[in-house]
Amino acid sequence: MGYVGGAKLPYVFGAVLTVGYAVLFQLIPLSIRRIVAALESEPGLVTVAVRDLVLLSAVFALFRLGSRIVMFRIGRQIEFRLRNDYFSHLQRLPQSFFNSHRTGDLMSRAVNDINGVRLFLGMGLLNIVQTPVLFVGAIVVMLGIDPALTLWVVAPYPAFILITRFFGRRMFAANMEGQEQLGRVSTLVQENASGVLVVRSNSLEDRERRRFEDENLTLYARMMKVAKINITMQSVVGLLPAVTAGLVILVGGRAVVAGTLASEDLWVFWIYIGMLTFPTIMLGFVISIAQRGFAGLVRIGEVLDTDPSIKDRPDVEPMTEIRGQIALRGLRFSYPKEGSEPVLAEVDLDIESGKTVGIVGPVGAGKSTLVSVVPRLLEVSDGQVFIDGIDVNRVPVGLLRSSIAMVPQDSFLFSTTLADNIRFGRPDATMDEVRDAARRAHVLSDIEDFPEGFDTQVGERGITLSGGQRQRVAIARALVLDPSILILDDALSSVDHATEEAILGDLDSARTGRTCFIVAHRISAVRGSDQILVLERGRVSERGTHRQLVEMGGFYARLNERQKLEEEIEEMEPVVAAAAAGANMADSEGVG
Amino acid sequence: MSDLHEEQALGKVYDSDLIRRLWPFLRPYRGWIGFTFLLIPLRGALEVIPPLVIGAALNFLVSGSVSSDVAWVERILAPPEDFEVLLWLFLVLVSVAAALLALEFLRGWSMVILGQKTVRDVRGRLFDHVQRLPMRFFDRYPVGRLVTRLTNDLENLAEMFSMGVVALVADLFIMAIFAYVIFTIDPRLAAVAMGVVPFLAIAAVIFRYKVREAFREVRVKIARLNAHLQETISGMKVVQLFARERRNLADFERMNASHRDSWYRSINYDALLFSSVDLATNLTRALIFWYGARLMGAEGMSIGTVYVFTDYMGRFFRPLMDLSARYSVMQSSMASAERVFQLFDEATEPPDLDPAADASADERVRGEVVFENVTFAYGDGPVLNDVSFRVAPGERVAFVGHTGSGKTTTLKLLARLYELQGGSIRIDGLDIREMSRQRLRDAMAFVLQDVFLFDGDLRYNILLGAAIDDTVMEQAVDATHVRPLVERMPEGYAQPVSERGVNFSTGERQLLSFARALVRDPSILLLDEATSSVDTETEALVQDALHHLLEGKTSIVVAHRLSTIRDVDRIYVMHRGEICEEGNHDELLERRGLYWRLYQIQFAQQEGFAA
Repeated sequence: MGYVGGAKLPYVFGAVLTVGYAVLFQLIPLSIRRIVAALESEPGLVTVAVRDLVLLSAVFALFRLGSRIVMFRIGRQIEFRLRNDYFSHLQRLPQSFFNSHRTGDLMSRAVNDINGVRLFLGMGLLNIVQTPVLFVGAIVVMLGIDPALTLWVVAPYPAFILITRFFGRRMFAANMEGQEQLGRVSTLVQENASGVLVVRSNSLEDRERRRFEDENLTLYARMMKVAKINITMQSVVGLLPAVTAGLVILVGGRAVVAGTLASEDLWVFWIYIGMLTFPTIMLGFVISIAQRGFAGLVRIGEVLDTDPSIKDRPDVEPMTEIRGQIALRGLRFSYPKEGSEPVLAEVDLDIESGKTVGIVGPVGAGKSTLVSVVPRLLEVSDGQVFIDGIDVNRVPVGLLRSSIAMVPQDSFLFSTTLADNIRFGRPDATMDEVRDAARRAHVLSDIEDFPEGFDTQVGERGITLSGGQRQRVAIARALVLDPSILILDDALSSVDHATEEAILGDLDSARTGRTCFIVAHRISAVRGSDQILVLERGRVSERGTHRQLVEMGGFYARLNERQKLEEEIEEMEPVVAAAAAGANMADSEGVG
Repeated sequence: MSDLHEEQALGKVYDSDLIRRLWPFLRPYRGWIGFTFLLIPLRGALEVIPPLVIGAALNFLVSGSVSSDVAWVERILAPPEDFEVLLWLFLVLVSVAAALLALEFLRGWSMVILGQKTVRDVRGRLFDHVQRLPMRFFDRYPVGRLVTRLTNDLENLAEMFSMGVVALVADLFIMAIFAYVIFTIDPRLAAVAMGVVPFLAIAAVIFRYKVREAFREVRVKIARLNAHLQETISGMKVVQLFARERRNLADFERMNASHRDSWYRSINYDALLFSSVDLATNLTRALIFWYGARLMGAEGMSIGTVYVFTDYMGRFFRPLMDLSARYSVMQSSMASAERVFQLFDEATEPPDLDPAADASADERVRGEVVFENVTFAYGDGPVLNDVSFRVAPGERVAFVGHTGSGKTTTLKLLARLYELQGGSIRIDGLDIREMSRQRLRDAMAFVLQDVFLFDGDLRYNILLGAAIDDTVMEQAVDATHVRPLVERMPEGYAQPVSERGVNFSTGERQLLSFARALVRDPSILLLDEATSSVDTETEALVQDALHHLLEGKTSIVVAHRLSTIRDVDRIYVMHRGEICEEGNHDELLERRGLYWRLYQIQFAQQEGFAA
């Protein structure tokens, strides 16, 4: 485990305190023996001996305080670093990883598994370091008093360690089964809630109840098993101090009767037994949580061991600037699922720096995939995608990402202020730059209408933006970067026509010198592009300028026809509708 | 887990209101609770013995006679004739320990049973409750939160039983017994021995308060940390696209460090408690020896008695060590219980009418559907406004209109997934509110745009719990062209499928949803046609399957396919929640109104291959 590295000082300090604690631990029974001896023979010495015990106890308490604080802190520090590493590693994993791992699963690793590791580190580290030291010291002292009695007293401990190990193993297996079943219950609830419409409309509630009942009973049985193993282990471990104390009476008492041992020596053994019981029980507990901790570590390790494929390769090209010339050569892409058709096949494309390409096509034609390979959100093999003539896989990732701004379909915003969302990619952007980006994305007046303006909180605990507002904020976020390549992946779908036109007008590459990809469903968004691709089932079916494609009379031309009519209807609708319904339509706002 | 407000609401360790609400779930197992409480005095009596045994052994070794300070224990400790005293004391000590082990085992066992059974019942009831919540609830309650309620929160509740309440009561009881015993032995020495207790009690109170503050801080911070993590995972695409990783990591590290530092504070208090208990134990020993020496000299108190005092006091302090662990367990259990009961507080739909009491329950629904002045809204703006129409049994009607015009809502209202705000819906002349929901929904099949796959095998996903024999299913599978799909699966009908990791094509999913509807043999078919396009070959299969599906049923279709609207008896054109045109295809085209325009946009281009 690489997490025990780092600053050495706390470890040294912790070790010193722990050893000091273990030494002082041995002095207490001896000090009590001195008192008892005085009680029996020289009452005058009792006061001095008691005073020594008081002083010793005070120092002992200080060492205990120190060792607990230091050791527990080390545990927290390791947890801290583990969590940082987990987070930082996640950020370096490719999109394909996030497509195959649900957020819930990744969160569960961060919450439950790190928690398991943490529990183990907190209690475990201290106990695993301290308990053996205490035992060794105690055995040495006891051997000095009476070797035979010591052997009798120590004899049960190995048996108990074997017992705890036996239960520990069972506990581990049971715990895994329990967690697995808990996962199944989660899935069922998730499914039930996501598919609630189907459940209700098909009267499946009873069936779902029965399915849940089955899983719930299994969960109950498994959790019960975990708890029962735990209880059995705890009760058995409680037998230990009684057996050893009894052995002191029997074996030690006989020695006292025989005159080979003083009765005050027995106190040493009893006090030890009292003091060692708690660490022994804790050791049993630590063994049981250790399993959980290791299981957690394994699950976190699975993520940490995933290769962050998107990183600079050894043969990275030392570029410092991207101009924005893009070439696709026979681009082919399929998701790693057996038997599925390729999402993209044989796509060729050349875009000069500063030109705009529009992409249209039916749902599922591969439009988003096509634009996702450019910023390496999705990985393609060498020889397919080139930027400024360099294979995209050899372009430094940092440069690639800072030169390309993409507005993804879902326009995800973070739960922070609007200003921070807009300057997400460039936290050092000034308010003027933020404002300017918002203006160019035509969301400035919306933002200024909020009482708190740019300081308005977005998300769960803030305001809810409309779809169009979200998209425009996402566009502003991209514009702040002033990228050489801008990708709008269906980023204007919820924006009304007039605003769309205005935004596109401002983006006009002729003036900005920026290479643009515009994926859209609406002809109006791509009409002005230098080149338009029509993608159907992963292949380019039509290609040309707006005028050329309209003349071609294919998919694009039909789409164009249809949307012209649609626009017409949008203008006429209220009149027609009112006439048809034979009623006075009170609300005719929001048209055009 | 990401909700900061929920975490901040935490704090109470005992809440009588929650206990009162939990009681109905505990009630069936009150025998176990009673049993556990009965064990406490028994355990108390046994716990008194071990120190006295050792004390008696000491007395025997020093004076040669077995004497004890507690009369009833002395009787146990006197060995039978000709029996070695030390061996007898050993046997007594081990037997008492074995009996205590058994008691501890029984206590733990019964608490486990109580806890697990109670949690099982609460979980079952909660899921049942969720099944009865109205659709509106699901529109606003995140699925993830629901999952947390039914899993993590309930696991927390189970912890309360294994670690919490009863153990706490038992500990306090036993501490009281120890105190009682030493006071009966010698009140003066007992008073001296208890000298440190008030200081420790004050320290414990301060510690409790401080650790509570620290825990609260920790919880708020971990919630913030996890919220940040969750958001980063959800928005990872944006994070990576905008090369925000480094700064994000810096933010995360800062929050993580602040969380760790809160823990440091909590560790300090925890360590303070442990070392003060240690200190108190040893100081108390010192006090007992110091005052015991005087009593031994002046009044001939035995060394055994001194030992008994030190041993009892050592045991007296030990439960204090567990306090912080118990405290945090109780705290998070109570917070979880509170969240669980908040979910129980969500109002359910009115209970379903008894299908048996339904007058016409045995008759098959003929399928006459009447909407009369129906008005409905999800939130503020009306979605349906004064909608009226009638569909005769066996008729096919289609709804067309723009997105958001209220077509799908009409279907949902007919299935009574939402309650109306005005007007009424009748089936065969009977208001749907007077029918049992079960009967209503059994009479219809609702085919959604996309088929939702449940975790289960293919058979389950076709039948969806309908009690149907195989021949009917096979017929439906053939009629809807699902057969090739079944044959493609290595395990046929037994092939496990789930929403995730499924590789059915769009067309196959549509066909599967038709098969689902067909096996139910509904009187009324509600079909929300999929908009997604499929290839020509599949389209032909879909058309054919659809033809079988609609046969002989009252059908209400939200139509996106030309062939569908051509086939129907009547078309309703919806616009902004109102029906603005109706008639058959040709009539509506002739009117050159809204339908004509919609037709130009939506359907004209399909003409090529659909005709």
